[in-house]
Amino acid sequence: MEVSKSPISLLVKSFIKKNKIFAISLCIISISMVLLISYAGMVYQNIYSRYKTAKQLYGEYQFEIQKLTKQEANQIKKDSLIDKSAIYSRDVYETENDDIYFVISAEKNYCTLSDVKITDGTFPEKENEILCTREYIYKNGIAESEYRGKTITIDEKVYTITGLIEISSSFDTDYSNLFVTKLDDKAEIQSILVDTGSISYKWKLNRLIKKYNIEQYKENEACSKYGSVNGYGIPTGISFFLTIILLGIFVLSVFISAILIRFYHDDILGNIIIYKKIGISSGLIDKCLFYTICYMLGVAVMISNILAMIILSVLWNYRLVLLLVQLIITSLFVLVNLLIYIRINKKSKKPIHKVYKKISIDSYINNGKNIYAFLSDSNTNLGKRKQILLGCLIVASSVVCISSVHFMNYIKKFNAVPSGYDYMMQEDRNVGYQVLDKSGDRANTTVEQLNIQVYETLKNLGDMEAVPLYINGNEFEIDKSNIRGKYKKHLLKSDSDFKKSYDYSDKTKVRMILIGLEEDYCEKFGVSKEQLGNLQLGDAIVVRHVRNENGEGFDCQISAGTEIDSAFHYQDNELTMESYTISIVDEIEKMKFVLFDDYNYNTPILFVNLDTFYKIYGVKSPRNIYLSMQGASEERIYETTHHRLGYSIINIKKWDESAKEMVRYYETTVTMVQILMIILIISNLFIFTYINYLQTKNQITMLKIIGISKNKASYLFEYQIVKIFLRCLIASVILSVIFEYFVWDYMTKSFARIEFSLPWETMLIVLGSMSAALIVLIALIHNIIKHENIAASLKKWERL
Amino acid sequence: MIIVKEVSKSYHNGTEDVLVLRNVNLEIPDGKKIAIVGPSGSGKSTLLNIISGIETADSGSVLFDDVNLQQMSEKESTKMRLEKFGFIFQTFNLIKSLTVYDNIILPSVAKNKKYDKEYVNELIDLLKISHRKTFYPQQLSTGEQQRVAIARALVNHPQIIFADEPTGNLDYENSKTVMKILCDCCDRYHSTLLYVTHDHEIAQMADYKLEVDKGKYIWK
Repeated sequence: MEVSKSPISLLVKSFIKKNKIFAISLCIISISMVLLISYAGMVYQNIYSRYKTAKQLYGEYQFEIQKLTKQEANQIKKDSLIDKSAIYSRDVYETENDDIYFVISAEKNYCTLSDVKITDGTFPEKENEILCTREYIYKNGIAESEYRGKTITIDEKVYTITGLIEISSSFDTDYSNLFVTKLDDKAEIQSILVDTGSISYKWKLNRLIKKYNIEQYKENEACSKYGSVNGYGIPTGISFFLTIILLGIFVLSVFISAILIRFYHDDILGNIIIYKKIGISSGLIDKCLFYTICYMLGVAVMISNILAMIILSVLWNYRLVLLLVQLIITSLFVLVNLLIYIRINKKSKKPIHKVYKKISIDSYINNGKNIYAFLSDSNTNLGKRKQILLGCLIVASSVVCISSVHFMNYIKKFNAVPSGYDYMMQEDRNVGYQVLDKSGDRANTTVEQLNIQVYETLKNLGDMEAVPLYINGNEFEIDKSNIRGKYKKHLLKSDSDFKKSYDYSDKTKVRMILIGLEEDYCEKFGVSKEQLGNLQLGDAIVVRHVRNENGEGFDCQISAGTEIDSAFHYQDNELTMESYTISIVDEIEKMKFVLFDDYNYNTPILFVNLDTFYKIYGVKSPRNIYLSMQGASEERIYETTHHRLGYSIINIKKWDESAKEMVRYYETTVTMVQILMIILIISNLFIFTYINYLQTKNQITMLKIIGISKNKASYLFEYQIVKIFLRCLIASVILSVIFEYFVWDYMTKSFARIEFSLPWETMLIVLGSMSAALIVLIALIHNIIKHENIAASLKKWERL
Repeated sequence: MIIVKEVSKSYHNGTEDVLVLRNVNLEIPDGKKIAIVGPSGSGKSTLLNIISGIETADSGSVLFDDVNLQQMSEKESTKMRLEKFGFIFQTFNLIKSLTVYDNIILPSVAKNKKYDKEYVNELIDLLKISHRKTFYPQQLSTGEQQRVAIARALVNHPQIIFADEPTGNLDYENSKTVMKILCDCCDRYHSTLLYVTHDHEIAQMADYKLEVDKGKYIWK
């Protein structure tokens, strides 16, 4: 009776069954993939949630399409590419008192999609109803509890107030005179605010542009920065580092699985040789091997995806888009592995003419080395290449682990600043200075006078600390020999004006920031009272460290003894081109107090006393005021921060919260990376020791046969492991330091104030833990060797 | 019949070449049992490997059914081994991850994608391993493992069985039993048996002996 049977199933079965390395590979590949997918999912989720936060803070829309007819706007509104939208038009009216009123006529959901939020009351339901700002009712002396039912007359039409709105600071108008009414049919200028409900909205925007031939649109840029929260994005260096980590983990996972596949291939080489001997064609064997690898990867993919889905669902609400992330990662993973396998298989077919180095035992004995060193070096089963492969796993995982731990130290340092202040008030001549001027004496009050008033008021409020920052930036002339080094190269490369002046004159023009210091606050900036006290009129202290928007950190090389000339001069609020010489008499390395905004990029910073500052700029009021309002009531905070003429408000508290959120985010991410790395390291150590053991097993059996005790026989394995591991440790230390330096160098391009520190402590912890784990694994394998039956070992020893 | 003509083979060992076979000429008759005997390192296994097509000679030819095995491509040589030859090794070379039954049917399945169940069972009964069918090689005694290897070698009705030290890993009693079974099987299925041994008693079981002495092959 003839029975049909597929040789493929039989061969594949023989490759899989009772093969420890297959089982180990399957487990480790699955674990790495679970972690990889979970990490990628987590990164995606985090990007998504930060994107959502950014949308909430900046307005629930991604772009605004302008200059449309109402018909066009309605057509776009119904498009399937759009998730949410609101049509609105904006009119400007001049009142009898020469005030300008901005009236937005909008659909009801405008206030949930735009920068304008209803804080009290309801959206107008009738055409004669209106929303107004809190500032408007304050300006008009209406109490907050009594605004409803009050009327506003705009363009001879009377509106009843139904609610209050709050405008985000990014709104480009005098927000006190902004009103919102229901969209009426008369509205002519039509714009539409659009939310596609997707992170890939730029792609959708481009499709809309083509489809409707849109000529004018404006993106909500905040939403295009995935990480931006409260105007504060993820620094480039950090994003870069996280991407590197993700790529590193991916490469490491692929690397591990490739090595496992390689060792698995070696392990079943015995079977392959037998098959070849008994006449099974290479083609069939290759096909079966390929199926086996596909089977291994397929099962790993299935297990890992299910587990990753469970993990992601437990941690967050599983979103369908994560399936796409999973698919992309698994497809890449499987593809890369198959390519590596094909390469390994192809290579293994090439005839190898190994010439083993003849090792004389005498040379070992004469050099005082032990017999185990001889046996280890003569172990052709574990050649140099295999040792390097195994070592690479250890080194790569330890370097990534050390870096990720050390990275967290940088993040904490970075986010620990600035200061503990709650608000920053910034002089702003465009926003709001006509508002709330109850005295009506605005015409006779200069901005400078107003600012002084504000500062004096804030200083005297008693329950808060108000730190003034007298700051201004302009071009100064300096002898060109004083601008040198990396900073000079940077300026020559990126600043054409500098290049021009550098090429054609003895003096070059360099933009610098001049900060006037009050004695009470100088130490907050890193300048001692003594240093400040020593400054005469025209003297300055230079801050050597300069950073630019591309993130590079420079030493400006300008040192004490240098003289610079200001290229302009203020007198009675008039700008003249008089020159004023400043002598640099002192220097500090870095500023202690971090400037909140970006105007200190590319520029050396000079500290002067207030007299010098006034002499040069003619300004006595601080440009920025940092407020600490610990313990103040909400009403008090609101009153202080919302009713200051000439100053706009930045909420440092919120920024601080987002910074803390960022620390939390990185802590979670880095913890995830660390868990992942610990598992990968343990897997690596296991692969490292177990494969070492498998490759040394025959030698150990031989030692046992010739009468060497089990304990002593296992020294061979231990000697070999320790020898390779110590080399790996040395390589890890060197590479960690180098890698860490590059990470720091890149990161400091984004935030210059972090000092480079060698990761000794982290290295000690990581490498110490690895050594401890290795000792445990060695002990376990030592136990296996000790209890292994010689006869059984012999039986397993297949001489091919 | 296999005709070996002027076969030479040497190995490169460090700096010098070691000549293992020098101009060997042989004619191996069909259906007979031939034992190759000689001291270690005399080239017995090398000769067996060359005749069976596992190794290639440096010069000379091996004719089987008027086809020169030495000129065959690897693919043709593999096909020949699968269809016309059977192999038995000193270390049995069983696939440890397959059961006894699967190990036996493997060459047949690889050849035809099917196997003759009755014939396989007959072999298993003949070799007295029917109670071990579902066992894995490690669970068998060495004698049993070699009997499995014999069954595997016979499953494709080979014209020639090559056995390299088939009793090398077996004790005296087992050696005799296994060889007897092997010889009986070859007689029963009319296969030629060419085996290498250094055990003179085992060599006595052959129809002819081919003694290797200082590179010379002498029929006895």
